[in-house]
Amino acid sequence: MTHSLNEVEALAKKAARGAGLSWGEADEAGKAVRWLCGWGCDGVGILARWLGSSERELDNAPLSVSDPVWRAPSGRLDPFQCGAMLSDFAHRLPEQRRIELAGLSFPLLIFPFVARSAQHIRQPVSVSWGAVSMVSDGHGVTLSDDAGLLADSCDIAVVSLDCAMGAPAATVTRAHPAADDLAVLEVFAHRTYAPATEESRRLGAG
Amino acid sequence: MGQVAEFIAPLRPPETVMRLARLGSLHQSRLSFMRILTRHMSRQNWHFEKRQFQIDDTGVGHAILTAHGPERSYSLVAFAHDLPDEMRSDRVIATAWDATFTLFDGIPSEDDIQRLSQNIPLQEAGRVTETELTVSRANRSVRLWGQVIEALAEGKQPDIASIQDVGYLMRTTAVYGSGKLGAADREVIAGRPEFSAPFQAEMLTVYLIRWFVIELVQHLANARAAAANRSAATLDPEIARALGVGNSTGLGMAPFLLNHPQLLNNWITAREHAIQAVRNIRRPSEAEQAQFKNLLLRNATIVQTWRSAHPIQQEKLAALTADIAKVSAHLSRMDWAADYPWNGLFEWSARTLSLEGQEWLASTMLEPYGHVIDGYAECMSDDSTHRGIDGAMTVGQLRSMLQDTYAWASALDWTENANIARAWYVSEEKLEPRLGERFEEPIADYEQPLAPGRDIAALAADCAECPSTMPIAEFLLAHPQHRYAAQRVQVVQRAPYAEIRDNTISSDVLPIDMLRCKLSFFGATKFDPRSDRWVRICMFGNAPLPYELTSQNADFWVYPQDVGATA
Repeated sequence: MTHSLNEVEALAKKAARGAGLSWGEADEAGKAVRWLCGWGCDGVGILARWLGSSERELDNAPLSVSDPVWRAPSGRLDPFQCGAMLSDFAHRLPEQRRIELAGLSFPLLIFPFVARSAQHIRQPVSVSWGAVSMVSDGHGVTLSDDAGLLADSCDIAVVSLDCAMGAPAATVTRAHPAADDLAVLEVFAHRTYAPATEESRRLGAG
Repeated sequence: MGQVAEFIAPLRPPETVMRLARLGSLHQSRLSFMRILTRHMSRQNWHFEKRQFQIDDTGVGHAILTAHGPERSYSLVAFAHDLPDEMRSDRVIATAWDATFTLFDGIPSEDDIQRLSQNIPLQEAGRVTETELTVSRANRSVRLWGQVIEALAEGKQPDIASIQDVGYLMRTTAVYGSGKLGAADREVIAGRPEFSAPFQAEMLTVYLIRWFVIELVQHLANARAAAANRSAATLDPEIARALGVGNSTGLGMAPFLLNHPQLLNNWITAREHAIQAVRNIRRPSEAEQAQFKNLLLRNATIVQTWRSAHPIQQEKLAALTADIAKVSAHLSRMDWAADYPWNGLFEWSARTLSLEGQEWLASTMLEPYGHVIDGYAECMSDDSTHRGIDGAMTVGQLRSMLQDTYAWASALDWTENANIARAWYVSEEKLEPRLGERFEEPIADYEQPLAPGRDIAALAADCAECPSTMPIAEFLLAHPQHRYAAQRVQVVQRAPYAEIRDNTISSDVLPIDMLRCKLSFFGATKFDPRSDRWVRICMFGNAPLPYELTSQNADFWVYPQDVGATA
């Protein structure tokens, strides 16, 4: 059974919100998951593992975006906060040319934001960790099929402008999430629903 | 002698157009999605096939009705059920319906039918695949259903007055597309000419449902007559044509305009440009004037037969009826030989008529000018890719945008209870959107981001003292809670008609205004609110049935000819 990309995006957004992200961050998380699924990556799976990770509370934003190495006090970088910063500060990338993200959790989650940055600055941007190396020019992507793609963490992820697109990946129109991963997202998404009371039924329903 | 400057009618500004009261007064027009569909199908010579009709004498079974376009076919797969009266409900929490449907991308195999028979009747409790474009369901009009079958079974035509009073035999309570329940995403079909305009798959679904309903009612009348050793009458095509598909819409649709600002902008922009283009016509031809006057009269007929039991709508209808009389009087005095008469008429209406009247007249003015404006339908979809926040924009630039577009929001006191009396949330019960009373129910923690006025005013307040040259990337580092608002402001900057300039959580917000706006773009008529958050409408009323669709009748069907008038 496959899922539409709209469905996975909607569920991912609700799950991220249910996990405590603001609506803006949750919206970006939903779009990031959809984007990954649209390139055939297991966006639902990686989000489910991030949400379910017991160390997620330790993930932080980097102390400074001006440093060439981004570090969090806890040693673990939050992929969505890093992603948002990367994309928001994309205009500085042409000058910086290279950023190292130390202790990035679930590094695949940063790739959609790398692509967003590439779109902003109109040049290819790569992200690499371990044996994984991927590039986006803001429209297409070159993927890696290394097992490290779905890693829970990495010591250093490098974002760089010194790169070029390789063989372009094909887009897909369906997501193939595992039932277990969907179930995790549903649990978090459920936190966004208000329990029904007779009062609310009477007052609010259409 | 100096040159006379060429007159150019302005576009109405967003501050005027994007008010809920006006959006809640919009009427269908030739840019409505239903009419875009029928024009397209007739031009492309679509033909229609009743492929299967396996329904028993009790009305249970399935049918396949196929629409054949020049390159592709689409099949409505319909399941008819035997629903006990006490289970019939328009609410999203219903679990069974009189009929359930899917629009299949192509022609379904027996395996497809088998799979669909296990899922479509379950609706939200089932799932579909990429070969299904929409999922929908409908319930009978209890008032009319039995009456029509009984009359036909006795060899008679049903009573026209009842038909006109109710307007439909079945009403849909949801039509899901765009990937819901596992159906194909819009991206899968957006490149096909038949689906380039918005909601065409959904409109095609309803158009085929209408045909199915007429076939079903005839089938049941035939069965009933046969059981009594009689022959049933065949439903008069004129009566069949008068029947539309009802639709019952509630809060489920209300967030749409807020959640799709770029798309809303594109719809409104097309309509506003169309109005501007007509206002810019210097000398309408005799034929154009005559067509306008003829359609105006026929459009007035719709208003005369428009019923609502709700005080809000009754008041609006009274104003509209009075406005129509004013329009008629004004037209008889108008100097059609003067330059830019449409503009004169339009400006007069803005000074003189109610919002209902103004928008009714604006829609009617567009009618003779298909050759000028029908192309705008190509611009009404939004297939753009999401851009994300532009962090390089400065706080100074952001503040300037806020001042331009959201001064109304910053002027409101968001600590006053009346201004934040309501909150949008999603109920756990059946995952339906609701609008609750913030201070009376425990819902604030579950609030959905559907109050851009409040949220953007908060953004404006927090960036008021920041240095102008600060990139908003830096501002957002310190204020991550404003990401949604900042993103939205940047969208609206590029899409001036994207934002509704009204408070969507006030104590007196009328969700039906949001429903009406979207439904008017669908092409609905006879808006019949049942509360401030639930409305019934009629779709494809008076439209040619599929087998009789031609280029002659594909466009102005929405305006009834006089039933029974002499030639």
